[in-house]
Amino acid sequence: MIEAVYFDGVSARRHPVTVIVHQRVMALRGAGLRRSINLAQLDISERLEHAPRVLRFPDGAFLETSDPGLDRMLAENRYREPRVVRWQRHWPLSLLALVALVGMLAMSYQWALPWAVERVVARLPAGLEARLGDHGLALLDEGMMDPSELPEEEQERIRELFAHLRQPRGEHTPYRLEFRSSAMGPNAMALPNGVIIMTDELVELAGDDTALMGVLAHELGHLQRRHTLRNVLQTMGMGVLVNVWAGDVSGMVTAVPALMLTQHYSRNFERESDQYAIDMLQQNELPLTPLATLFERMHEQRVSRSAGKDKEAPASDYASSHPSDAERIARLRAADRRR
Amino acid sequence: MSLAFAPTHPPQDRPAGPGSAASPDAAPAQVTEAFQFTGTGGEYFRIWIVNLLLSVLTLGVYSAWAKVRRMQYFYRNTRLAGSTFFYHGKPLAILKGRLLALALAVAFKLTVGLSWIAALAILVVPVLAMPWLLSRSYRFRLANSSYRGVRMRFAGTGAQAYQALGWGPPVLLIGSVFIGISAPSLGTRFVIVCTVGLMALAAALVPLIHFGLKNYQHNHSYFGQMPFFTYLRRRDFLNIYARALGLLLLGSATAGAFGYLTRPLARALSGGPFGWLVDLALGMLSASAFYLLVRPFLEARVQNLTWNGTELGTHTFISHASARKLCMLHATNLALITLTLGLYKPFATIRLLKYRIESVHLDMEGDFEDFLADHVGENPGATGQEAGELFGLEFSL
Repeated sequence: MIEAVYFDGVSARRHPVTVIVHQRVMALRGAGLRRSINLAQLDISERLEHAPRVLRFPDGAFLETSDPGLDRMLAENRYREPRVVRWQRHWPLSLLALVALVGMLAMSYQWALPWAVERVVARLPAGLEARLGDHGLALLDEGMMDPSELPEEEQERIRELFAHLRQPRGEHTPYRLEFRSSAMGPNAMALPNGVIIMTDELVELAGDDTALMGVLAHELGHLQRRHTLRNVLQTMGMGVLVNVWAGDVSGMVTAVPALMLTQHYSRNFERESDQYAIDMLQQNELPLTPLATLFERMHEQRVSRSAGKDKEAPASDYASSHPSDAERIARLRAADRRR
Repeated sequence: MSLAFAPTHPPQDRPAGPGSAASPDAAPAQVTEAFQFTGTGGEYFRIWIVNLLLSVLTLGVYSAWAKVRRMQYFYRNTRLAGSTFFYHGKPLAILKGRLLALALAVAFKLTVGLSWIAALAILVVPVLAMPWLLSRSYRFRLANSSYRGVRMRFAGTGAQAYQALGWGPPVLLIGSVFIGISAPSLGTRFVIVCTVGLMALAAALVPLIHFGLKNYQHNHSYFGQMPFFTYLRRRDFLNIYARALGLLLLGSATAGAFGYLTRPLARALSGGPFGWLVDLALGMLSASAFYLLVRPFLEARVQNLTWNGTELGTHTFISHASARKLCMLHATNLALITLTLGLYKPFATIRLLKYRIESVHLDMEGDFEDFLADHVGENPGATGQEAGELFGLEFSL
């Protein structure tokens, strides 16, 4: 027998009643009030630590009780709490759920998402990337890039040189090589519409055709492996993962971790492209050391440029979208040694 | 440990009836009841993590059930005069709404790269439909809320929602779109002037939109057959927002000065072994002037403004949330959430909710026994509420 309060679902009047459950039938009795119902027809709310239990009748009436005897009475009448509720009330199981969830999110980020994106990208139409690339090229030409000052013959010579190289594994990735002059300094980039841009400053700094071929091979790798699109999709997917965990927490809190996670993805893409450059140059029996030397020179240039400021290149890998210069140079030299 | 179910005030003797001659000078006793929140961070953490895991395992389908469970947790732990609230929302209705919102979000993401016109359309339509979405969302929420068996009700129509929000949202939307489209073609200076102008316009319009929203919300809500009534004035909202703006400027100036003064120290720390951690902390601090100061201030003041003096029949609400306390709450929550890499979030949610709920009281004249449930009206679908939430809009009374 337990104490409860009965509400008839029509008025807000409280009716103190006593309740008994026997043979899976619940009967309640109060002042001028008597009701009974099959336990199975009651909607029994979850047990909460600090809130009264609510048992609802089909017609909207309900019982509210904090009497500790209710649990025993229900258990005696074969009432089983839903599994999820039992799970929630158990600290060890909940912590296990936490570990499982974090593990799943980490594995999704590290393996499942990149794998899924690779499969998806293979099935997407090429027009999507073309439009992204065209738009990007227009923006660059408007803002940071000026027409190249290299003589036309020089540009053609480099184009011919690269066109004669064999692409790895018999691939035939289409591309178009463009030259620009830019205040950015020595740089090269691949746009998803197939355009590879190389700055005059890079040609000047390299001073070596093999190094230029290495750079172009690296950029071709971005195109062949569709890195731009994969990066976009992976970032989106990663946003979902972060959102699962952080939910409605202020965007500011998640901004920096999210950025770090994105940069990790970018670094992996750069490594993939470096490997592609190694594959392609080795296929054409070219050494990689000139490219390594070019990277060294670019690194020195960056260091001397920021000597005026107090910080060197980013103190750690975490904030950069490329692997460290040291790592890339070491890999290139090691590849040469292996041959 | 269980809480014995005891009324928080002695049972009242009901007056024998209007015009009773028994005791002509016995005015109905006046009692002040405080809202109580009995939820705890530990309990909610366990509910949160288990439901999150299940949602992830079911690729989000379970999230509708998780939402119902969460609402039930908040409602049943909110206590007034010895009785708790109850949430009646059904998971399937919520699931339908979420699927629709998801379809819209996916369509937006896919078309953004393809055609900016299509992407624009998908962005514009929800914004223009927002008043209607809001009205449906309130209807769903209130129709599924009850206290002591008496359901609440929202009688505001979509048309009234458009009237309440006025020209503000479309004007701001068109302004942003105009700037976004013309930015590449016009000069930078013109764009900057336009943006500043738009921000000034927003500063004036947002308080008015907020006023319209709260006015609409409060004055079309019912508990049973009893209407809520709040007398709100535009100038009070403008006042609050003006102060918030002042706080923002003050906060930004202070943060800027602090940043400038400590720059040598910051640079030295950044160069060290934990430089990336220092960069992270500094980045967050400098961006948080708004979040730490202005948002809690607005929350507290608007809550007080809208709830203080809200009447329900012969009963009056009193709200005395302190902006200062709320700021401290948000700040400590943020710090703890960051330090625990997000694990503190459920605790933080409960802390906030507890403070905001328990800063509201109800001055009662007479008692609730007189209220009758109002069974008129159909059960609206959940589409409005869920669609609104997925786009980041928070609807809270």
